[in-house]
Amino acid sequence: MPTPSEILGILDRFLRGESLSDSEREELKKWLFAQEIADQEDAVVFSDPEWEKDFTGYLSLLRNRGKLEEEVQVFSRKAGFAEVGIKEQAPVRSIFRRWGWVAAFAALVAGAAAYSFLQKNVSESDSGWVKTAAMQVEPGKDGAILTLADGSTVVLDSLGNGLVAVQSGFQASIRNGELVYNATQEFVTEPSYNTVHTPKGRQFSMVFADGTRVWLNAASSIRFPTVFFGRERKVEVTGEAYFEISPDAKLPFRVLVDGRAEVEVLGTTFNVNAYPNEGSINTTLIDGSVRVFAAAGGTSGNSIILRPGQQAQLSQGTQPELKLIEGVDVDRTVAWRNGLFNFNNIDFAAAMRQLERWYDINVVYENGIPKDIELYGSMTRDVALNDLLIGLQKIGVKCRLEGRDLIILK
Amino acid sequence: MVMLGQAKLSGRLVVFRINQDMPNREDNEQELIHRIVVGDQKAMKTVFRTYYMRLFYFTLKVVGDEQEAQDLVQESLMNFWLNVSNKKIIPENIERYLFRMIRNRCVNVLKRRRLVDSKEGEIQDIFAENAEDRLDEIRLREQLFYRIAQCFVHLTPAQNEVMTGIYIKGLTIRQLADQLNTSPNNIRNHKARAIERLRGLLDPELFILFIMGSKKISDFL
Repeated sequence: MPTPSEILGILDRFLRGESLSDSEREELKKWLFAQEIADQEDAVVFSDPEWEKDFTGYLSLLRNRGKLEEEVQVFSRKAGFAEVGIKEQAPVRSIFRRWGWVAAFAALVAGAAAYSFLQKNVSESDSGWVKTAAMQVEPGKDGAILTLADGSTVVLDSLGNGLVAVQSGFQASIRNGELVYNATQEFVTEPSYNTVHTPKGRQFSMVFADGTRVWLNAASSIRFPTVFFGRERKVEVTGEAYFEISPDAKLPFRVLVDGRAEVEVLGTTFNVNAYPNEGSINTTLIDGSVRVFAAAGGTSGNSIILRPGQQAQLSQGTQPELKLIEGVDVDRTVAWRNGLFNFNNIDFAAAMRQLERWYDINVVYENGIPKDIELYGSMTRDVALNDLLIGLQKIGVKCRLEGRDLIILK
Repeated sequence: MVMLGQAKLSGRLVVFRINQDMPNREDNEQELIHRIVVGDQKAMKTVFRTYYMRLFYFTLKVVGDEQEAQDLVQESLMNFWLNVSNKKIIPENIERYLFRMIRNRCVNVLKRRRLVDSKEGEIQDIFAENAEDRLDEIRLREQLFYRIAQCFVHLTPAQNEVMTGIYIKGLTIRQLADQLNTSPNNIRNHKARAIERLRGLLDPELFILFIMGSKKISDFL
């Protein structure tokens, strides 16, 4: 058995690119694999912190499905590929109870064969619990309603391109599935306000004249001036929205959230979740810098400055509390914008509320909320509800669909 | 065999080697190519999705500008599409072919920059030799990162969470246990199983030595 210094000698030559004999190679391998995996407190992958940062960046690039899909669109357009009405399915990871429970089931959307396989199993073992509803509940899709300053409304159909509204100072059109605003005048004396809102079961994205982009989740709205003016760019939001703010040092961007909080922004990317039935307003910063105020019209008082990866949580109630949360699961926060559900580390009821908004259904708990079920994983949002329910059945959630009511039993 | 490594024998140590001719994991790669030859747009999108980010990472490291990197990668993939579907060129290995295309583009970009920077009247091909080395290094780094990232994909989500927590986020076992609301022992078990699994996945010529802190290594010094 070689001595440690002999091993070091071999290692040294190996690192310098010299060739080793077969036996030397064997010894080196044995030594390397013999190292015990102790739980050292300062274990890292790479010796160079620059490498570690680089690798982390690489990993997040690989996982950035949103950006990838954007680039796919750019490419498809240039190559003149056929327009696809339904979003192509991203790879699906299974949802199962974590930490050892083995109830993993195959990807829900793996094709007809898998679907019929699942159906067969369900009818054999869980007799009676699945009532294939007479009506298929379709998943949410793109769509929204634009309300102009004079109160007239326009239904936004993402598949049609063209002008939607031309009024003083601006014009709005649908381009590539989003609502795009262009200023036709440099200045306006009096701005007009438009509102875009998504009902349950719809989502939409839009681009302001300054390049700022906003994605609206289901059951959300944004009210904005048609042309940005004055000393700031201010919009009002309810529900859930994802912002990519165009940097403009002269005109800070402010978001009034559900009338209860305000976010001040300087060129950045962040997500605001302000559904009234979610207990708190959560503002998650992805990139850049924001300041979150605990009240509307915020210029003073309680506020938090966020750094990327942090979240400001403003609780509901008469005495709202503003908290700073570190180490937020950003993937989970913006999963919706990437066309996914991400149920990691959220309780069952919260996951059901997401389904309510996306499928436009009501969840009814016949015997109270199941406490022992932990969901884990993510899946695409473009799944018909019945397929998803079959999956839930498989992990032990007894449920049935009656029209638009999802009944959950313990 | 190409070696890529860095050893600081006084404490932290990383040793890894990459088999440059990585086995072609895509058994259906040939099928993909043939579908693209006959103009299958879905197959092309599959290739796009598989390689875009990898090519983007490489290009960004070389040219330094995000917008430019985006454009270069889009151009390369468009060329790939045209070459295969129109000119019926059949590449032997998609990864090598794509990376060669993007590398050539990068070389041209760098050359142009040098010429622009050079003084008036001086037209030199001052494309330094070490630029080629730098391109090699970035290519190898991307391959290494990709191999490691692939391994993470093969772990179970629980193992993935533990490995990411420990080796990427740099959390201690205790911190990770608190975060995931479980016992440190549970974490250690997942970690051990994950590492066993990684060992099994890596081909014999690729080994990664995770740093164990400095105690074990310094024992030998």
